[in-house]
Amino acid sequence: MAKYWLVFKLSLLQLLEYRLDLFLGTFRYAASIMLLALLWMAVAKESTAFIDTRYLLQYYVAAAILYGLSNFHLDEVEEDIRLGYISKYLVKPISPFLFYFINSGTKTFAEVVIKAFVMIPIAALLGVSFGTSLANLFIFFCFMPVIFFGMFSLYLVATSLAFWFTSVDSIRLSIMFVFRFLSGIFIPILFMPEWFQYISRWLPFTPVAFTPIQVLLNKLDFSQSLLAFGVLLFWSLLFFALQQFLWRKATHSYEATGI
Amino acid sequence: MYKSLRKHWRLFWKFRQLRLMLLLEYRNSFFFWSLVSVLWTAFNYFFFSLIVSANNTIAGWNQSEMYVLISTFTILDAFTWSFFYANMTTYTKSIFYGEMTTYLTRPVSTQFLVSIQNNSFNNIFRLVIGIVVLVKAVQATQVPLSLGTILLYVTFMILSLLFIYSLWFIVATCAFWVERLDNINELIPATRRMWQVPRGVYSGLASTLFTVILPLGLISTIPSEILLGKGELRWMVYYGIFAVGSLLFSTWFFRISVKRYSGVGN
Repeated sequence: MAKYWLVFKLSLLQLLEYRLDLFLGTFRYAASIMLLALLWMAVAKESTAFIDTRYLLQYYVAAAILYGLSNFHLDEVEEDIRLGYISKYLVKPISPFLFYFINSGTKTFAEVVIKAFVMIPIAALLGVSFGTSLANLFIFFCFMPVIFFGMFSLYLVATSLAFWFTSVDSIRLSIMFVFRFLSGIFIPILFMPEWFQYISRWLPFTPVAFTPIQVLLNKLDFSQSLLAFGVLLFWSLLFFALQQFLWRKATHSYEATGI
Repeated sequence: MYKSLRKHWRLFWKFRQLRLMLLLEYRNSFFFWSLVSVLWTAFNYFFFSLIVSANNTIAGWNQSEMYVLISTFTILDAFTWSFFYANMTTYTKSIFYGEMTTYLTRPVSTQFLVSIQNNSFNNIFRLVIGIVVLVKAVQATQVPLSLGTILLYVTFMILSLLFIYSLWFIVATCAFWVERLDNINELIPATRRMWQVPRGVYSGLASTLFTVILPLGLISTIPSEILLGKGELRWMVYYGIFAVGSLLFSTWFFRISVKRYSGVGN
């Protein structure tokens, strides 16, 4: 485990090397997501139907914080495969999956933590607080690593295709867009058609953003949260199994010389 | 003057030719990136149709008018991703990795060269979708269109593109002043949502900030208002002056900043 601890420390150091870059990378989409709250407030102003603007404000603050867990890039992994640098992980006693997982995970969680530390106090100053119960906070924290694990496995499935194709970043981004749209990061699922709300319970999308946000805002009871967590875990393990299968198949046929 | 213009014009098209050849070489990449672009465009339309369906208006804009605005945004976005993103990425990389020397020694304007050398064709479908929906939406609004209105719309679309370009170029030029900033090119794309909504969405401090101080909120709104026959002269004049001013400022800022460049040995 010591070597993976070292990977974690090195990833953190790498992240903190260019702090202005880290700041920009962390907050670049937060403002964009918060703008959606403004948009809904403008709609609510003219609407005859009741739109809970307080709920929407809380929702988008949480969405901005959670955004990074399902929206990250694995360009470096793709480049390693394409240029043959992956060889160094294949001939050394280190698991490529764990290496990349810890490397990306450190960056992703650092960004989420920074965002939480900056955005929650600012939101509280503006009168937007979550009032989450301790039990729900615990469930919410349980969701976070599983979301990242599932999304990382899925993106790595797409990235593994780089063993066969020249460029796969567009495939990864297509998956990311589908998740952005259907997970509730941009639109709370409550505004989606009812049939989608029904089937979304069993799909991998909503447990990535909408469900944990609902947990944070005390909108789900324990059994609903548990069910959603179970669905997330099931899909994450499925993506992981698929990734392992693809990776094994790819590395068996992988050839590299003179690197 | 004429000779110089002709040289730059020919250079512009030569680069397009090269990019087209590159596209034909990597056809799969083009196919997948086009899919991403179409997905994203469809998402945008669906997103706003969901919001509009909640109330039928957003900040005084009805459904058809909102489609005009979103289509205007889509057309601008197609150009943004096709031209600005590719060029600005190459531009900032060339500063960070010391490749700027190559451009500085070429017998053409450096700003022109770094701004036009790249482009992608992945957003062609986005552009087509934007234009088709725009035409349909304008028909649905039943606003009478004259040639003058269309010309004014096109003029302000060009001004909007100039404004986006200038802003992005100013931000990218900051690369001369900092050590390494990979995310510098993500800054303008991250603010795109601000010009995706009508300016009426902004109220209070946000209104002053995004329509007067840094009029991002006017980028799509002003051309759309012109097409819908509700453009206000004072806003058009203000926005026009601001866009041209930004372009002049970006050129001046580049001239100042390039003096800080110290790359050698390329």
